[in-house]
Amino acid sequence: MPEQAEGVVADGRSAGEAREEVLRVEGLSVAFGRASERVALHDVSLSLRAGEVVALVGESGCGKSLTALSVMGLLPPEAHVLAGSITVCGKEIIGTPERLLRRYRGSAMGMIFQDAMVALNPLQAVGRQIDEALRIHTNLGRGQRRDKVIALLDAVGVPDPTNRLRQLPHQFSGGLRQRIMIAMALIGEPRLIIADEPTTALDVTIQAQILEVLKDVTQARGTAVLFITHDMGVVAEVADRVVVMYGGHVIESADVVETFSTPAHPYTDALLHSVPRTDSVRGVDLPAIPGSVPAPGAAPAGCPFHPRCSDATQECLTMPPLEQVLPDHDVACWHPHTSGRSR
Amino acid sequence: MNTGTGPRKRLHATSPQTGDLPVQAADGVEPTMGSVSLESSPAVPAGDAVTMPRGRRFWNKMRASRRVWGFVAILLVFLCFALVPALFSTAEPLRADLPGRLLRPGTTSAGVTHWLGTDQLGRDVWSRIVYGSRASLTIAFAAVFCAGIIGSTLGVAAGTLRGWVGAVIMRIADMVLSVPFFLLAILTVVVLGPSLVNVVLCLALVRWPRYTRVAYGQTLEAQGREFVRSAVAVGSPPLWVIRKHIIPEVIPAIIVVATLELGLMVLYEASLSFIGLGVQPPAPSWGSMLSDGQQYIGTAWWLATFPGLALFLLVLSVNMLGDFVRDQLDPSERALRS
Repeated sequence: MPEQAEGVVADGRSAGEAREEVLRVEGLSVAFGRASERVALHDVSLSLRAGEVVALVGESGCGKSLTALSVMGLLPPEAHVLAGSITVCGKEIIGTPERLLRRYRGSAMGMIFQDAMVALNPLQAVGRQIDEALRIHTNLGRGQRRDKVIALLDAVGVPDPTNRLRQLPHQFSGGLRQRIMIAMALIGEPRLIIADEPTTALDVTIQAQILEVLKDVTQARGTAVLFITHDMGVVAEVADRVVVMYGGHVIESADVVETFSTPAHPYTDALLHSVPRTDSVRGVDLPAIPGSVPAPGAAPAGCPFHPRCSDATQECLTMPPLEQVLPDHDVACWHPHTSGRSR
Repeated sequence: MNTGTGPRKRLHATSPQTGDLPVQAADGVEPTMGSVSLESSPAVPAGDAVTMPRGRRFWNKMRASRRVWGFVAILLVFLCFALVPALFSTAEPLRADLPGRLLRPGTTSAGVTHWLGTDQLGRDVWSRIVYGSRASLTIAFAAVFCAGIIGSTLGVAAGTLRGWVGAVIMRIADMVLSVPFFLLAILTVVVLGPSLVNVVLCLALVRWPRYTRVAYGQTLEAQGREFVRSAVAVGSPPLWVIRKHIIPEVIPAIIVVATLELGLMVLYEASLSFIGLGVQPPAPSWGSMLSDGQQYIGTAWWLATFPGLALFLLVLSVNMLGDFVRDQLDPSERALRS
């Protein structure tokens, strides 16, 4: 990729040092409501390095999407950041004026939306929509932009890109539309892509293809991907690292292999056990986690999972800190499942 | 009841009658299209309709609907009258001829045949109607244009800014809508004096909230759409988002409102002229012709009848066209397509 050298983002774009930190979220707390009474994110910390795919996992309402929106600087007006900092490529997001944030969006961080059906403007040719970020962030000529769009469409696997960029979104299949969404997010060559459940609207075969494309394209460019999902199958397929969220807290953060082999948090453990497997015993019910996710503001004191946890003790009424239990494996639990305990 | 009237309307609709009353027409549009679609279906395969651009679909629908063409023709005739009245008039509209006053339709005096008779000053009624269409249409189009621009700008602004600015704009719109039209019209004209420009101004002042409310709703809807969020996520500035993504969503609805408003503006102009606040005599206007003619309704029926008929035909055809446009650009139908 020759165009990678001339970067929009100044610091360390060379493909050689692929491990530089692209995203760092530290102690982020976000609340809703006039008096910030409903706290939705508690002290969330995570980081992504260039070329890394980190899966952000959790049930609906656990704060995954809110974390993503905070990183994009697109929090809804009724949400406020109580504390913490977010840096993308060394630039602070929290408290940055909208004018500057607009410059980062699309060029430093991009976003792939869940449903390409509605995330593309039905009245505009797809070429123009992909081009949008280039027109806003660069002063390339029309021909140069067109070449870039065609090259990228080709890279994400859209056949006959020269002709198809003139077509409208409804003339594409669901899978192609999602490829176009990926192209739209990548065209400004951001260092970080946030993919918010990009494959939930697709069937499994197409899903696998899209994940493949996303992985290929981002790896070739050394783009970091924050992959938001609740599908453990997808996590196993794409992620290098897994960050598990529950009730607005990060409760576990580990390498993907380790997460699946030795989940340390009881919630992660239970979550993995509730996924059907090919070696599940026929006729035996899948284990389910009793109860449901607490609503923001209605969270129980201490560890948010303790009412549903089989290992809960008196100690769990205070929130455990996120601590390293194994090398490169952080857990927020008073009673972590140590290796050998699980599957 | 309904099953009884259904087939009869179908009969009406398939026969090429252009002068149908709107009541029948509203139900009749469907059968007409149904009966015509048989012959036009080879040109427009059903599967293609989905992938066709909006403009072409609209055009095909329009071609398929014979009824609309009748009304379009009437509207075009009036537009020609307004653009080049000299071509159609048979006499000077302002020339009085007292000996030849109140002549019956069809009589010839001083070498000129008055097809629609003459008025109380001996002026040719036909020529006055032809020239009167100019005042009607100019004012109607100008008023729709002004109100449309002001109204939709405010609506998009209110929908984008929301917060207290949006609330203030929308409450002002509600307030203006709550004031009766004639009260405001009389007030405006009394303050500014009657003239063509002031009539346009007055109509625009009264009607902008119609567009504002529609534009506001469409803007709010568009802003909730995911593609607007995705445009924001690639760093599009607010004005860019409005221009590229919001306005194209708002325009179809505004066009529908504008077409429907056009007929109403013709009527309002006539009403203002009728009470003497619109076009000033001796300039011909349908409204003032009606008000003059009503005094002679017993002795010279043609004075009020023909301007009234012209008004009726123009408003009817504009409204039918408006209904057609609305049916075609209806958001519910667009939702099915996308």
